Amino acid sequence: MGYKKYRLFYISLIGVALITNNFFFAKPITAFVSAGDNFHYEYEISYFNRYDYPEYEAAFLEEDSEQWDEDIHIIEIDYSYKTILYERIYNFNKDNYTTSYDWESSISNHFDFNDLFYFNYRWDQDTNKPVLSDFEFYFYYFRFVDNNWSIINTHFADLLDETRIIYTVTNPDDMSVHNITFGDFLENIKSYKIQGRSSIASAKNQFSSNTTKWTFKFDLSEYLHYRDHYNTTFDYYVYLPVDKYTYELIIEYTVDGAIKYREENFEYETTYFTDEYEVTANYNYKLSLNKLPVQLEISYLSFIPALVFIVLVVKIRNKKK
Amino acid sequence: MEKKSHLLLLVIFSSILLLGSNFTPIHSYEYDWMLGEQYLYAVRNYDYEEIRIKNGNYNIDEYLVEYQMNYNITNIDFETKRLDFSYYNTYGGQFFIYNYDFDMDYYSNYFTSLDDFIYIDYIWDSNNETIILRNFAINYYYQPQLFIEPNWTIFNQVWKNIFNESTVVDVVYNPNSENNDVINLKYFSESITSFTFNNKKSLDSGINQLTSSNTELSLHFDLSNVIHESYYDFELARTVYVPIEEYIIDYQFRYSDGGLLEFYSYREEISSTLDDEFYKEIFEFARAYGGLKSLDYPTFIIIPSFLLSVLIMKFSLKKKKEKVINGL
Repeated sequence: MGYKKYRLFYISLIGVALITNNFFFAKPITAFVSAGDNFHYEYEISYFNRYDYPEYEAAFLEEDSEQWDEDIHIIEIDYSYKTILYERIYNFNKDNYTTSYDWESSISNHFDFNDLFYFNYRWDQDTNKPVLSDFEFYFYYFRFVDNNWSIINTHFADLLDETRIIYTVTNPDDMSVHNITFGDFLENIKSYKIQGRSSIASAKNQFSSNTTKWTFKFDLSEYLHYRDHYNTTFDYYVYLPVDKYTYELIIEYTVDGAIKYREENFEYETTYFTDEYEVTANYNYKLSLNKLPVQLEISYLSFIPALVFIVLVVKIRNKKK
Repeated sequence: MEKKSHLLLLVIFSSILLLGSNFTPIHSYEYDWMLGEQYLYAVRNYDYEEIRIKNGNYNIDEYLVEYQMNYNITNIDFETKRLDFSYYNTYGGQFFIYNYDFDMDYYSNYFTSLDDFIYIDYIWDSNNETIILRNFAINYYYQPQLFIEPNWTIFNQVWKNIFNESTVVDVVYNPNSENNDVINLKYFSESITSFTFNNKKSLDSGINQLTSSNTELSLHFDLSNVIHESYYDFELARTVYVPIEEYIIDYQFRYSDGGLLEFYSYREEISSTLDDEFYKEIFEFARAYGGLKSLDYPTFIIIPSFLLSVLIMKFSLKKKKEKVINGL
């Protein structure tokens, strides 16, 4: 190959590298939100409740839905205390707020296993086995977060340990102690999906160093129990399964560390036998960032290397001629 | 005395007794409700609110409550015309007992003038030197009783008296003519954007619908661009009145021939733009005979005929089964 041919080859290579990697113009991964950034959010919240009292032919249903928008304007970032001062325009009012974005050091306060999950098991003397009587999944909501994605992802992957003991129940009949592990819980519930996966092993792999979106979905239908009545003959409480209980959370941040999307869906349905009424309920929450001025600029910038490459190729071709 | 005279005397005597006692008139109605029966009703309460401001910020809130209640008539006193019923309250999960007078005198005592039913307020707008409609309301969205005495002659007479076209709705002082301008119901009904009374487009023909067999009342007031709202203009240093773009009120209720409330609904839809701020509100309150499914229509105003046919069908079926004659 002649020198000119090599030159063309190298230029082509550089051009392709520029297009595919975009490293030259894109923001580095460590870039954080900055003062002057604007975010426009849209919210949608709705709930539905229905109660039926078949014995009296009575029923009650309630539905509420709210939609609104919100503008966030970052005024100042305090890097030493990891706080952000921002202006919020919401409900036709303008106010300033300060929020912490220090989620790395708040991992132990807000993202420990016991902060994310709450379990309550009871020994069911009727069936002679432990039953889940209460459950909650709570993912602490930060508006802005440190964008050191590998730390938080490693932390989440570490939490998913099937051998972790989540509850210890004593059988009052023989005083035997029963440990329930996270694995027992996951195996026995109707279904679950963490990062879209139905097994812990493959879910763990979904927490990579650049993951900024997390999804959790739990279906505890027929597994979660409610305490119905006290059986006076046998001296114990009767636990009955809840017909439907599903919870889903989707949370996503921009690479820069601003909340981008948050969705929560909850469904509940059951018949309370003793009190003779049925409940159907659901709750939906959705937050979405719908204007991405900063990211939009980046996507425009990514066209530049492609343009440079085309110009170069054309120039070289012309030269050759 | 002869046997025949005895018989004649007996007939006369018993006739006097029958006429003299108020036994006969009470029992001359066919009631569609009776002691010990249960009547299922559904109620809807809907509220929509939307605000949009110049920079695009918005807030929309929509709220709906529906409930189904089973009313159980526990006592009927035909002498005092008092009725007791109980129902299961879905809020508190308890039984409630309620009683009221079901006779038609209730209507004639309650509605003696238009003011008892509708509030209309005109004012003098000094900016435009004219009389303008400032306020309008159906008092407390008046909700009719579920079970009433089916005396339709009195019922229709009450509404005829109230909706007399010469009824004075307001008197406003006109500084130009230095006189009081008297506004009557006829002027009001003809000056608003659209008006219907029992599905007729004029007050006259609407009132003609109030025959002794009529069991309903339906009103539609479109006050869009006629009714005004106000704000204080600091530059002009006075109150400025501007017409409201959309202001529609629908009100209706209907009884079965036997005095059972078939449906009732009140709906208002208001929207306005003031100072680049858009505001919209829809409020609806409805009650229908039947379960929650009887409310499964977007609004009663849009398809009342459909609802009506369903209800009539239900009623005709019910009436066949349990025709109640002479009250009990």
